[in-house]
Amino acid sequence: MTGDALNAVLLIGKKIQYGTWRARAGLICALRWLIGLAALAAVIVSWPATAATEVLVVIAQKSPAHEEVLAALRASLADVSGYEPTLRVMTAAEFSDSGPRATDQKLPGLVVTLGTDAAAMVLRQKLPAPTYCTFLPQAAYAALTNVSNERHARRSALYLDQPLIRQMQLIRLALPTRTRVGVVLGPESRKSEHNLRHAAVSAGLVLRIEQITDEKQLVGALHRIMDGADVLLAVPDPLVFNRNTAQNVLLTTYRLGKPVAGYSRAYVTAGALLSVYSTPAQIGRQIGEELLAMRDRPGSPLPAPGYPRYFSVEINERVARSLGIEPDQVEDLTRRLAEKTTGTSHE
Amino acid sequence: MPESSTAAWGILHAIRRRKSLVRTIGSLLVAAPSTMAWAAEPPLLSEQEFLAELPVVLTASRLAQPQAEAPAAVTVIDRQMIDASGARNLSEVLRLVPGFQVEFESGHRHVVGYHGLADEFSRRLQVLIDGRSVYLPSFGGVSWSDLPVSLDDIDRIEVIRGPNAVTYGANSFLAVINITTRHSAADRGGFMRATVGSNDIRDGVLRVAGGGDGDVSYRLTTGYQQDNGYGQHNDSRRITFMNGRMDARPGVRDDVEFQFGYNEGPRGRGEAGDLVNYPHDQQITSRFQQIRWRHRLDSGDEVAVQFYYNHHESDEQVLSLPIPQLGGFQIPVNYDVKSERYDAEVQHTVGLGETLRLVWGAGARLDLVEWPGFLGSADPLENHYYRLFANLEWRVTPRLVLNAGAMAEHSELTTGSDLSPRLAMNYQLMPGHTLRAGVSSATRQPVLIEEKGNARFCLDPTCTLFNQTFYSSGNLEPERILASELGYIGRLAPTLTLDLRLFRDHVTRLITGFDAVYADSLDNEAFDFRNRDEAMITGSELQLHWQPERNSRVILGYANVRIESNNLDENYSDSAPRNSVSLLGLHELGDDLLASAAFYYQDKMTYLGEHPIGVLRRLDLRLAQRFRLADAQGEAAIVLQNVLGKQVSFNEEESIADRIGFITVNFSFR
Repeated sequence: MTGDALNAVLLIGKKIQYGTWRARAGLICALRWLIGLAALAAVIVSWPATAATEVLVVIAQKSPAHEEVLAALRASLADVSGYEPTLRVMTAAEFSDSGPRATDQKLPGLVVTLGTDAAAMVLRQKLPAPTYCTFLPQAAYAALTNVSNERHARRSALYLDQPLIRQMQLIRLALPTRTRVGVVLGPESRKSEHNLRHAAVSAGLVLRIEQITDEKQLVGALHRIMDGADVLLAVPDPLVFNRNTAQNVLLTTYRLGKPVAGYSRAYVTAGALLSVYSTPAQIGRQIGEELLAMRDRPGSPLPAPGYPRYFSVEINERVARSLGIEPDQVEDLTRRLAEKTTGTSHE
Repeated sequence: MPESSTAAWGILHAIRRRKSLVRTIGSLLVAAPSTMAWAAEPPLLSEQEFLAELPVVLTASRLAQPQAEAPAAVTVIDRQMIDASGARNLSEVLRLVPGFQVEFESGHRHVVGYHGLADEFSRRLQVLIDGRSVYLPSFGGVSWSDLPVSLDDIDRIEVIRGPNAVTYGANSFLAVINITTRHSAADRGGFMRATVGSNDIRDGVLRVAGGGDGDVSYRLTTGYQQDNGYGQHNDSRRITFMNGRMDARPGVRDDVEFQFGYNEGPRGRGEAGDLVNYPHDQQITSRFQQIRWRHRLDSGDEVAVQFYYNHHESDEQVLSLPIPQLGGFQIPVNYDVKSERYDAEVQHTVGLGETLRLVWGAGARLDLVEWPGFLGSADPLENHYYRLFANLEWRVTPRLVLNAGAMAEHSELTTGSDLSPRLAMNYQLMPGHTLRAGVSSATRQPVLIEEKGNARFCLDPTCTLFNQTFYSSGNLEPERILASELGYIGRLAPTLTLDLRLFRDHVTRLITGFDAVYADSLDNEAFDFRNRDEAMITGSELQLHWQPERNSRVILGYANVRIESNNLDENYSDSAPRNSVSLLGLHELGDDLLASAAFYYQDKMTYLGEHPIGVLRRLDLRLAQRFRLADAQGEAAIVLQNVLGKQVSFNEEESIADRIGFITVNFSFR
């Protein structure tokens, strides 16, 4: 590498990592950065201009859901001829043991992580390779990167959860007379309060929020909030609002005669009235499409962190009937929801 | 699909970016190694949260029947309707139910009747508060003024129009009034209400609630209520009440609910100028304790166990003024009555696949009544009562639901056992339109005064001269109702629902009082009871609910009732108004100003054993302003009742309702 090229690389690196770079001090750090930046420069130059790029996929664990993402990802790449990146798949545990390190000479062209644990493991290594964190909740990515919705040349994300506006619009479409939405927020989900309020306003809904700090406060909060709300929007929170508390949430609201809008298919099976969610296959498909888009835009950075383009709507007919609610057909709702939230599709 | 963002998205992104900038700067200033930051952070939200299977919480057995699929006609009175009605008494709210009549025999004896057949002790309805039956075992009716419940604590009232013994137990004869109070976790902090009005109305309510942040929540309500009744008689009441509710969750599968309450105070009785029944006070003490435990099984089934104790006591002993015709003798009158009820029930709800649900259970009850003046014995009389019930709900096709059930009961007061079966079918014509056809039966077991009444008033010191007012020869059969109905529930528009019902109730073996010969009595007769009368009640009911906006509603109720009876011992045929209408309208005028009006109409009728009353038109108005005062939320309302003026409401001689106005202000604060 010539001196000029090295300078150019340093400049690019400086631009990208300006903030962090300034905050860090000490010779060792600086040395590590130099090595890392050199590797990054190689990546930027070589990927994805070359056809046979190695993409390292790190999955949080071997589970049917993760396999489904992989299968859909492979399928969507296979649809396009002439682009055959080498997909190397390893679990987060394998990555921890024998995955590439920032100091390695040869790094994968792109790292795609599936799941929160995989993202945590990879981001911790601070690989200079571009990292696309997928199949993880927005809150987890925000916590991992300490920055919400950043634009970052070296890492980005495809969330698993749905944009709040999509969830609000679904409530609006499916339950036109239920305009008061109750939300219980925990310490983690509290961060989305501002976004929730805006999404509610955009969807023409009135939002009532109750904040709690402990799982024990949940039932009381539900009773209070549902006194003035027509439907509960479940917002996942690792401490207070999760699958352990689903029973309390569903039973309490049901006894009050109020439906729950959940965030997963399982929530609907358990007793939520409806959910909008993305299946592993839908996420896999979008990852594949993003990889193709990156190839078609040589030199372009990763896409901005975003929510899934493809989604599904599920309705629990028995619960709807029991609550005396008659929502439209799922297909119809999904189509109208896709129209409402433009830029997204449900296929 | 294009990738363009909506305006809303633009706003969201802009906000997020600004937020992220702030946070980036924040993280730069902290500049801590991120691994250390992780260690201190709460666990990260995993994708598993969105993927993992959840146990089915709302299993088929836990899902309640929607109104359209219920095997009976149901009228729901919610909190907003209770407020808008302007009611100060629980009983008054029931005027909103098609086919119901609510009048006051006196200021503290409220008569709630459905489809007639009611006297001042209207005893053919089941009334439940949180699953606790409150009709009295002594004379069978409900003492509405003595219930230890505050109107402010009631969440909703469901009225099942028609018999429903299978679900609601004994006495679920003409209708069932199912009152539900709010869960204690729904209240937090304090609440107070003060009411002042004409006719010496002075009410106050104070409530504290807490513990909603843990597994145990509680509520304690205390209050005082007074008025001068009709204002023309000595029928005032002074009510002091307190009640408490505690809800606990010892585990994720269990709910335990404990309640207690008392209501006491004097009620005015007697007439000026009457030598025996001169103006005096009746002292009421009413209390209860109740515990309910619900346990969810792994299978999704549920077991519920309930136990309660009711205690109602009326202390009323008077010595008449000297009676000149009896040589100045003062007749001792003992109206004291103490009723106690111990009731235990267990219920098991079983899901049998996706299309079948079984609810079955058993109950036992002990009624103890100490009523020396009317049962001829100073010792308490006891009655054991047992019941067994089961209902099977079968979804034959997605549009057809069948309900088949029965209750078997045995009361020691009568011989043998009685079976009350029910069969109902709901068929969805198209989404939002359901037809219902049903046949059900129920019994009304005789109460103690009917089966064992024995009241004697001594007219001299040795009681050789006496007046026997009651003497029951006993051997009564339970009354039986066979009700058939056709119903329709339709959503005519997203804001408009219609409930229609055609009914035919055949009531046989009506337990009716008659004057029997009693040779030794001063007037040679005493009141006895027998099962000779029967009635055929036919008619139609309509309920229309229009809600164009949250705070704008119109609720119309109409009933047409015709009673044909052999009228042997009582005039049953005239005991219901031919046509009755209730109309409630409420509207938010803006700026938290709410107006509501309730209009009621009923044709002429005659309560059993009373004088006829004419056509009734009643209009109640309410105007309420909500406001904030520091951290407290409040509402001030002015209520005008019966604004159309004086009218005979229960009995032309004694109960003339006049205009009443009151102002009520409440505050709630955390």
